[in-house]
Amino acid sequence: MEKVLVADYQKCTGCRTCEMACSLAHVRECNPAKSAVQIVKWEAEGLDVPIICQQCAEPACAGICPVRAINRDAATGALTIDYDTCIGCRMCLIACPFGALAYDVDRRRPIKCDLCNGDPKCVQFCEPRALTYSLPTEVEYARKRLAGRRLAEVTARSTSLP
Amino acid sequence: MYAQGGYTGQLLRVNLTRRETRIEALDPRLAEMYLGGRGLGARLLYDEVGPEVDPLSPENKLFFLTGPLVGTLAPSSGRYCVTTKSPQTGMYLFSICSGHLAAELKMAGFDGLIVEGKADQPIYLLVTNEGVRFADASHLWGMHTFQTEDALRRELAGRGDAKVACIGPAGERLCRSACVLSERRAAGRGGPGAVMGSKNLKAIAVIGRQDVTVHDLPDFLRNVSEAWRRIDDTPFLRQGLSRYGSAISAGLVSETGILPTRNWQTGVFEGVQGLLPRTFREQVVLKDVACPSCPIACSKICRGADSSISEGPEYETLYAFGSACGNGDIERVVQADMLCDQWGIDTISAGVTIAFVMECVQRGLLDSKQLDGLSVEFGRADVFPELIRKMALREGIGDVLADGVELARQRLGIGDDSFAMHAKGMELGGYDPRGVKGQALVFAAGPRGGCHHANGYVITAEIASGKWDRFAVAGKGGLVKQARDTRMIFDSALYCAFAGIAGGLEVAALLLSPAIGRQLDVASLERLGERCSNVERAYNVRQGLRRKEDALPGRLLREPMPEGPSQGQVVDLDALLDDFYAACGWDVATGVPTKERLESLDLPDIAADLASLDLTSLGANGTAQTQGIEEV
Repeated sequence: MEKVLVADYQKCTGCRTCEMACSLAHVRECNPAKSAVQIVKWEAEGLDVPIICQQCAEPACAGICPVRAINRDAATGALTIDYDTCIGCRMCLIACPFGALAYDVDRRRPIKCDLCNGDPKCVQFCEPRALTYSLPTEVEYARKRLAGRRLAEVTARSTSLP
Repeated sequence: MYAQGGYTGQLLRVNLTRRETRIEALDPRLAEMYLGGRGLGARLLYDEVGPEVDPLSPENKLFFLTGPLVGTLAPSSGRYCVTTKSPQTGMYLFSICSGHLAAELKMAGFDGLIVEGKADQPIYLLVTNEGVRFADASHLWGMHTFQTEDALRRELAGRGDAKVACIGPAGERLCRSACVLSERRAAGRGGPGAVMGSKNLKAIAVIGRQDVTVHDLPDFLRNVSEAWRRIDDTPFLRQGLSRYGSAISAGLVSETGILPTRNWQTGVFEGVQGLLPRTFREQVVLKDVACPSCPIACSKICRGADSSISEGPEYETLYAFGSACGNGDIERVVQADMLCDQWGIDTISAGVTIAFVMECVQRGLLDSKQLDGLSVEFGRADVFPELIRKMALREGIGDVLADGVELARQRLGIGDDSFAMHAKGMELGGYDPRGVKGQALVFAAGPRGGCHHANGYVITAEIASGKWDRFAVAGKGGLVKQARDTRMIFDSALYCAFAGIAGGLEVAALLLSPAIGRQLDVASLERLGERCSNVERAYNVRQGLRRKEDALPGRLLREPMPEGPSQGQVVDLDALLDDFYAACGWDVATGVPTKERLESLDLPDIAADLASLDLTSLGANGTAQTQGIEEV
């Protein structure tokens, strides 16, 4: 089974180290604007949300690409851009419902998460573990456990009421 | 132009009077001698803003500086330094703030931004890779800082995600403790916000897209991993700061009996329970947040009184609006923290000034009629919101208090200056030096006045390391000097001193060497730090500072600590200063750096400048404390 990259915004501290790690891994420079993961922030509410490609089952980016440059990697399941084919038209940026692609103004091409060939650098540098890379079953199970625990707590509180 | 990485090699100079901009090369020799950030700022200020300049005149300048680690993966490196002449002390000032503006400035192509002159009407600056725009800010004038930042980011959304530094109403009204705010955090101390206000400069917005480079990337990444590992291995960071933020200090400081309480009348606060780290975490913290590139995440989003939400308070605010005002209600502290940030006024200065007024009321020197009918009494935290508003707007009693505790004391006609808790016009941070003697030197001889860390942070060494007798005088001069020069490197490379705890200068050398392509070690960094510290000192000496200005409020020298674990202690400042000056290679009689020391630090030009001064009398302008700053 392919692993999935999941972003838990409740754990994100907004340090944006992931952006730096991503740009270093892909263009060998520190530049958050050239990162496939980007944190959007609402400081007033203390809200930090990592936006990253969901590697959709029915990807709008691949569907709209006029030259079929976005294809699924057989090993990781990541949708990757073949830059030799890409014409830099930016239609994928518009099509993505999450705004999860960025645009490299210097190289005139889109930037998209490729899961770093199965070893995502952003996950490696995410100290609060807001970004994780694991099997979908693990993610699902962890969420179920969490929800179950909360349910148990709420029930315990309400039954202890006089 | 720079073969090596770490720098863009360019400074952007903006003249607001003439609406001109100029791109200048960063002299590689300056980068080599002063690194960046605080150290570089000290030298630029020394060279460009002389003793005759009034801090609130168009001739004063603002230097917004980054450093060689800013914008890289180095841990906790998202910080910028604002350097200027302080309207609060009349002396040298640096003030550091974290935020994404720092990296953005480098991405826009600049190691630093220099602002000169004065705009004829409220404006903001937009800095991008394409150049500078002088934009009208009349629609922003009067807005508080959160509103200003949100409005600017909305306004500029079409160009990218703008990073902003701005002032609030306090800065517009030239309150001498007004700060510069970025993303809810502040370059808080010494009044840089008032300097921006005096220039009619409401905000600076930066949008950059250039890459930030380092010299040797593989080596740099290896060393970054090492720096991260050291942070993970430091329990104070991982179990302390990550969970409780700087509020972790409240416990330690309280147990040692040095928590300044009711305007420093004692070091033991009976209401401390409400301010302790565990209470803080459980009662008000909503979420952990981090500054750029920081794995520690010591910043806390907190919920306070009247539905207030603030990023913070830090420990110093817990002290200033907590124990110093006799207030144990943490939710009121959170609220005061948010309001100070919004109005754009420094929390330590505001809290300590209010605490002084509270003691005047307690002693019967003032009554509520003189205070616009407000009950400014110890424990009355409900008056904070109204007092902060009045200070920021210079309304009624607020106008008297708006410039900090020393000017407030003079205006209120309080003759006894022994309990106005400041040094050189800057209100003291929250550690009573009667119970921790090195701290007396940090306050009294600090380069920007009564700041708790600019002259080195020694609290942990003195009360938690087990290596020092906190009541002893001997050796404290050397301890403070070393801490001072170490701190200077963190503030100049520009990364967080909390991260610096993990590995100190050894890790600083590991990060800096591959970043800038020059082999540095602990010894060369210590020397560089000492050089920058001496430039700061020389600036203040040229301004008129001598040994007698390295002073503390009489309370700390003459009133023994009345109770608790530090009972009976006073500060023997003369003995401490002798020790410190000797360790620094400064003349013990005057506190002026000696010619020999300056020359050994490659500062012969500064040695010559100081040699031409009359060291027995005051310089041209004096300091705020000795001569008084002219009223606005």
